This record gives sequence, C-alpha cells and structure tokens, in this order.
Amino acid sequence: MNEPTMRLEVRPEVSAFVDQVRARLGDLHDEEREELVGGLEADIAELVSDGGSVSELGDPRAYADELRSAAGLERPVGGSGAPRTGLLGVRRPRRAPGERVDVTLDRARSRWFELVDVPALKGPWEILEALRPLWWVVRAWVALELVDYVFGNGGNRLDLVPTLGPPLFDLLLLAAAIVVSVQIGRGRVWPGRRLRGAAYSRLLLLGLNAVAVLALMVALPQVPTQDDISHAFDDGHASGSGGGGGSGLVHRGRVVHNVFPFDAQGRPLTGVQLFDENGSPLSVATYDFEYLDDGRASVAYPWLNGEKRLFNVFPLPERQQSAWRTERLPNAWTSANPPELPTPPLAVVPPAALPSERTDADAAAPTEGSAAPSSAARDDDEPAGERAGAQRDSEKAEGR
Amino acid sequence: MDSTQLLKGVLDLAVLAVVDDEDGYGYDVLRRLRAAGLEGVGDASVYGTLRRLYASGALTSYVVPSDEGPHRKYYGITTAGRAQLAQQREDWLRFSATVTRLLDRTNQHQSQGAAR
Repeated sequence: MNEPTMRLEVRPEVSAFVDQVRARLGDLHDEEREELVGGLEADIAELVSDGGSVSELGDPRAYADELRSAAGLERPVGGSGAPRTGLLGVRRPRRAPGERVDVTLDRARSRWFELVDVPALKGPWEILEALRPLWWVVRAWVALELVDYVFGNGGNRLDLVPTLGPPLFDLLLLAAAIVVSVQIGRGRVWPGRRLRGAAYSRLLLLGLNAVAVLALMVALPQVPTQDDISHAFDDGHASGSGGGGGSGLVHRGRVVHNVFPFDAQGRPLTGVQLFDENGSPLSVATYDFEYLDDGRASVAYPWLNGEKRLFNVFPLPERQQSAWRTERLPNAWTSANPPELPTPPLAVVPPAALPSERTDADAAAPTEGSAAPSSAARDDDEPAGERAGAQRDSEKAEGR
Repeated sequence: MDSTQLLKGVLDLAVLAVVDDEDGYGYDVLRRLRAAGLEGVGDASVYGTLRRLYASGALTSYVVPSDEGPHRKYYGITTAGRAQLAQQREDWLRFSATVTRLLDRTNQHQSQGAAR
C-alpha cells in the first residue's frame, strides 16, 4: 500500500461500463459477482485518469466474459477461457476439496444458464424463474409432510396442513416453515453462504432440494383425484375403514355378506331380525354380493315386509348369478333357480347360557366354545369344591 | 506466435510475482505487468486472475477506503500464494529451459543442413 489514497473521479461512462459488465454477469451469485466487479470502478477510473479511455476496453460484454473466464467462472460454451490446469498444464494448483466442489457447482450452474440462453428456452425459463417463490412454498410444505409422514399422526394421508399437533400449531408451523424456506431461497438464511467454504452448505441445499423434488414426485400420484373421490364411497366399506364409508355390515375390516344366527342351544335360526343399540337395522349393504371363483357371484336377496326390502333379516337367501349381473333381479323368485336359504357354515354350535340360567349339565361338561360367558363370571357364584370348579379357580388366579 | 496465448499460461505466475513484490490493487498490478513488458495482457484477464487467486487462497484482499470516489481493493500474497509462486517459478524455469534447449538443438540441425 505504497500510494496514498488519491481522489478519483468516476466518470459516468465508467459507471455505465461497470454496470453493463455487472449485468452481463447476472447469472452469478450476488457475492461472486461483487467479488468480480468490486474494485473494478476504481481500476477503470484510474485507467481513465491515466489518460486511457473506456472505449479502448472494448465491448463490456466481451470484457465481462474475459473477466469471468480469467476468474475461473467461465461459461463453458464460447469461452476458450484461461486454462484451468495451472501453469502450462504442468501442475495443477492444489485446491481444497471444498473449492473443487464449488468450481464444479459453478460450472454446472453456468452451463445451465448457457443452455437456457437460447431463444427457444429463454421465455419458458424466465417464467420458471418467476415461479421460483412458489417452489420455496411447496418445498416447505413437502418438508413438513415428510416429517408428518415419519413422526406425525397423519399417517400416509396427504393434507394441506400437516397434522403434527393442534390445528393452530400446525398452521403456525407451516407458516414458519414457509418463511424459513423463502429466506433460504432468498439467500438470507443458510449457514456458510459466504463465498469461500460454502461448498458443503451448497451441496446440502442441493441435496435437500432434490429430496423435496423426489418426495413430491412420489407423493403427487397419491393426491386423490376426482375419480378417487367418487369411488371412495364405494371403496369405503370394502376397505373396511371402520365401516364409515359404506352402508353395510363390516366385521374386523371385512365385509359381512350374510349372517347366520344360532339359538342358545346352538341350533341354526331362520328369519332373525337384527337391530343395533339405537334400534337401527343391522343390514348388509343393499348392493352387496360376493364373487365366487368360477366367474359367478352369490347375490343375497332381501326378506320382505310388504313391499319393503329388509336386509337385516338373516340369513339372507342367496342366488348364484353371473358375475356380470350382480343386481337383484325382479323375477328371481319366479325363475327356475330361485334364491335359497344358504346352508349355515356350521351345522350346530356349542350351546350358550347366561350365568343365571346355568344348569348342572353345563357345569359337568363345560364346553370349549367361546360363546359361553367368561369363566370369571361363572366363578362368582360357583362354590369351589368340585374338580372342574377348582380348575377354574386356578385359571382365575392365573388370569389376575 | 500469438503471445496472448502464451500469456494465459503464465498469467498466474506473473500476477503472483508482481503482488509478491508489493501489494497492489487491480489497475496497479496491470500497470506493473505492462511496465515489465507484458503489454498484451488484457485488463479483465488481470482483474479476473486476481479474483481467482484470491478465491483459491493464494492472495488476501483488503479494502482501502477513499474519502471520495470508489474504494480500492488491494491484494497481498499469502503463504499458500508464495508456495504456489515458488512451484510455478520452478515449473516455468524448467519448462522454458527445456524449450530453449530444444530450439537450440533444432536450430543447429537446421544450420548444419543449410551448410551441406
């Protein structure tokens, strides 16, 4: 620093030239660009005050390209550029691995900008660039959905607001994630974004973006379409989602096609009407049928109360029909092949009794059937003395 | 031969040597290179080379503010830069010596051939 700072006049043409150079380097990071252009005004101003002129510097675009190339940030196409192999290609200057990553990323970046710089792609690319903030919002949502998917109670369902906590908390969380994502996108929040040593943080950002894109590609086909929604009602009972979506009987996630009641003695019953605790009929789905193996379907036909069709009276008569015609045919009962009461899956079942109705016969021959009330309930009024009772006592003790 | 092509290969070395001699800002380094005889060197090439050597850690940089007008950005050499300079100087000397020997020999052959 041998020379004292002297007064330097920056002429308008110098500023204009520097501005044009800066514009030509518009695809670089702000920091990279200022690293290149910073100090340029002083240098050119001094050249001018030394008796030179801006015009001898030539085209600002060519000047910018030379600057970029010499700085090692050259556009790959069109720039013969300074050799990057060090002195005469003899020995490459030693680079930190991070710097190599940086250089590779910069090259890829400038290659990309070179690619979209052709007239055909310029328009679409500008539109995409304008949409960049949309991506910032989307990736914030994707990130939260991923967290939701892994840790949350939203399961594999996609929802607009992730379900990680109370609704208000989720909204705030989404808002916070969007703010952070946008700030990252604007280059405000990201560790180590300074010019040097930024390589790994750039790689991390790149990787996270890639994950978000992948997650989006996996998730998009799962977003329910109109078709899915219209089928959801039909599929609801079949998938056994608690029976909420369908209108028929579902047991342990499986559609119940027919019901076979037995009386307390274990004999099959016919014409039993079932109602739930609210007095609503326990009906199988009115459109229900069961596919058989041979391309035929077993269709259940309702009992009748006058004209009213009752699907809660069991067992329902069944009729084998073509799997292509699974509706209830009006002339089925008069056809040569009328619906028939199906044979129960079990001929008899073990008898059942209430504790208050217990007989000595039951006690003497306890059945293995699960239909009987629990042994614990039976023990309550059972004098412990006889062999069976003693055995049950030990079971009871074990059970507690 | 176009000397600018040759220059590109040794610009790092030349710039390092000039800055090693004394810290300097962009235009100052350019002026000293030209004064040393490298007249064909381009403004932007020198400035770009300075930025690149700075980014690779061979140079440090500090800004000297001025009361009026733009700030000057000075560059100084680092230890890594000195090592690079020494290495490239050695490379250059060996290389130029090799090329010089080669040219001398072919020159002798040519003059012998002409004598016959």
